[in-house]
Amino acid sequence: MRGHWVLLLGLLAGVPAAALAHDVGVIRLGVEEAAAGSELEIRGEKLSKNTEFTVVLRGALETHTLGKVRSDSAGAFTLRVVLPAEASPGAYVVRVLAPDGDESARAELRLLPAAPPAPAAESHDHHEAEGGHDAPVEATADPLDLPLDRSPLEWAFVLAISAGSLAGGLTLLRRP
Amino acid sequence: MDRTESMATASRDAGGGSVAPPVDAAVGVGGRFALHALGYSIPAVANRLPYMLGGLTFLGLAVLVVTGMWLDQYYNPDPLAAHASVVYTVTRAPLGAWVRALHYWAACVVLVSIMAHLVYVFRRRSYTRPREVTWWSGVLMLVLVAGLAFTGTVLRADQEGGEALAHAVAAAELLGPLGAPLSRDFAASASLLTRLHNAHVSLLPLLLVATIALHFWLIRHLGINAASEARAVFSAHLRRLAGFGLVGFAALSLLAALFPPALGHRAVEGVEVTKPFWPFLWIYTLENTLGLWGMIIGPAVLIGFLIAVPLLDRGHERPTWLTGLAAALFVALLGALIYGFFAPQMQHIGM
Repeated sequence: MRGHWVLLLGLLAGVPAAALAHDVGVIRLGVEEAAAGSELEIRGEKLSKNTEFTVVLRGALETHTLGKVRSDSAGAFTLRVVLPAEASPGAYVVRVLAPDGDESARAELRLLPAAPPAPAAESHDHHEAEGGHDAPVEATADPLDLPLDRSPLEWAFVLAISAGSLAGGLTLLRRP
Repeated sequence: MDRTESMATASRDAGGGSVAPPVDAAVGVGGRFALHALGYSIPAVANRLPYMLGGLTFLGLAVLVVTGMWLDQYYNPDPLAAHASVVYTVTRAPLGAWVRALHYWAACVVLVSIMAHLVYVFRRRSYTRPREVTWWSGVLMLVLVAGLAFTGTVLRADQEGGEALAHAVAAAELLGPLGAPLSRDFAASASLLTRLHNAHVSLLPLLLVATIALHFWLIRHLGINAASEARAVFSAHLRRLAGFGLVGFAALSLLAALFPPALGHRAVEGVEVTKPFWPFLWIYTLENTLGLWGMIIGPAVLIGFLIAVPLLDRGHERPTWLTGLAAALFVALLGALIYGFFAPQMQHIGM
């Protein structure tokens, strides 16, 4: 019986240890925003020692790999990268990924357009650009051609909720 | 007849106030939620569909709140990221395209039903004493719903949204100090899009909820304007309203699945190539005719007229000239809206 308690305590003690198996590292970018195509210095600290990390730039619609870097014996690194010129401006997260793909550290970065803004664009309230799909230079009233394919599960949900509402509504209307 | 039943009957006979049984009679789930308070008397005619337009508008607003909360989980009010976040919502978020379409079509239904409700209330002269404040609270709700429709258009951050934002800035400049909240310089720490997002998700909905509460309070205590002697129980009215609401939601749901609203390309500044959201097309026509002042004069005349209605009709019958003026305004608004749909596209800002 006593052995069970020891085993249980051992397992419970192992839970936080397992949870902490991945780093809670830190990366510093030095800037909060940078232009696409410009150079960026990324400093990492408090990471796993002597480990190779992949650094990616992740946005709402696109992800770019910035490069690979190896931490030193103190769990730190310095990486200089060129931000992809073709990346759409917008809000991004720089993520440092461990070899198993888990995130070890992150920092937010606002990506600005590569080219200087047009003279008329004195502020960014008019949504100069954002990520993802084709971004025409000329204004157009045409709608975006978005893929709106729904999965069978999604269709089933929509049909079920529609049928349920209809049945519920008719039942209520038929009651005296 | 036991004591509880006789008390309830006496309360009903006394003039239709809420039936309040003794505490020991409040059993079950309904009792614990005091649902017996919904058993008060209302005119039976209120169970007809035209009298339910206000209630159906309220249900439409409820759909907008729920779908809006879902959409806001994916929306990024940063001007640089807004359009991409809408694209993400539509293409990748779970049920995103359907929920956005539901939000759009529910907004259309609310705008139509609130206008139909207003016209029906005008026809029945339900704005006369003592219901002037009920009418004015309804007019305020119309303004708030229009404000929500406008800010919702801007949040898309596509070409139509960008042009709507440019018009808001232009209107703010025309209005001088009155338009300060819509100017770019009002808060240098936050972009105008971010502030309009805040207005769309918190400021305007909170004002709307407060106005709806006032509207319902007044209807509850001043009663529904109906000449009919026949009475019905309010809880049965609610059940019927829920029935119509659910059938309507089923139709809305299928409409949203089959006809998702379009999303334009990201906005390009300084040009006008789109027309506004269809409920604002009548203002577009006025802009084509009067220039930028049209978008201020038109709504001001309409809202001014609606506010003045209870003050202009204080007799036993509505003056003929007021009925004629209202009809003329309605026809002009409808005509301008239809014309705006077919009118040639024009540049208004900077002209």
